[in-house]
Amino acid sequence: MKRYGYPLLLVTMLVPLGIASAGLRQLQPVTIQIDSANQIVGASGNLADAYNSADTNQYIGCGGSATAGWCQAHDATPTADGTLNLAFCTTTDPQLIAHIRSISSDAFIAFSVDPATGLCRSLSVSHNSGYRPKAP
Amino acid sequence: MRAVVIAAALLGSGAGGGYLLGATRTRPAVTSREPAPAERAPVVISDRGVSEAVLHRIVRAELDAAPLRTCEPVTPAPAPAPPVETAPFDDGMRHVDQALARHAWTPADASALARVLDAVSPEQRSQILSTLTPALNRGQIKLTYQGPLF
Repeated sequence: MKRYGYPLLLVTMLVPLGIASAGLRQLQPVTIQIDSANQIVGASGNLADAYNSADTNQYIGCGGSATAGWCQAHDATPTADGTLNLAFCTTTDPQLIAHIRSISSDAFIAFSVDPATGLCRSLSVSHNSGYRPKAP
Repeated sequence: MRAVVIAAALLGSGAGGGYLLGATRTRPAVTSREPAPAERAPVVISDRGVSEAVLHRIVRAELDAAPLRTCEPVTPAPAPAPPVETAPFDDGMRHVDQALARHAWTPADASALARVLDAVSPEQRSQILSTLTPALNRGQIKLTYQGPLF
């Protein structure tokens, strides 16, 4: 007992320290929202989590110019005919275009789409300490 | 004596001719609705009701009470709207139609659309995007690359 006493004590001290330094971490993979009529109506996910994901399918992001903007998201499933795993929305709304500019490389974003027009109905941008940064 | 007879004959024929000429014309009947001045009844003001001074005061008060009507400044007619440029819009729609036909959206399409969207009107911009985006979401047009849509 005396032989293992010091290392055990050290482990007992360090383990809680390690947990405390981690903080809350949230994983936000890309998801595509589809309505009952089988139409894409939105998507959400964290940019860094999509980048860090083990699959090579996920991506999510927005962009545009001074006059028009877009958001797009692809979930973890591979691209195939008949699968609705890639969502788009576009906008000419200056407020949404300004909102797009606020997106950082490890932000969480969620957008909703009018399925008839493809126009962005809303865009939510969130920055949180719980989001993982992009891995190198 | 002879001269007297000729003169009488001339006078007689002139009067007769004049009578005949007058008979051929129908003179319009002279009608007048207004009675002759002599027949007009004289206007008799038996009771004027208000005096001239009172009437003047009423008119003055009404004029003062009425809102002052001023000449509105002449605003120049708005300049006619510039003709809507349709060439960039047609170009944008052509790109979308071609993408629909080949079921693919390429980086070249994205670059072309970015230029078009900056050149068209807001209504035309919405129309192009409202054609492209639902087709992308339905899978009728597939992105051939991973990158910006336009």
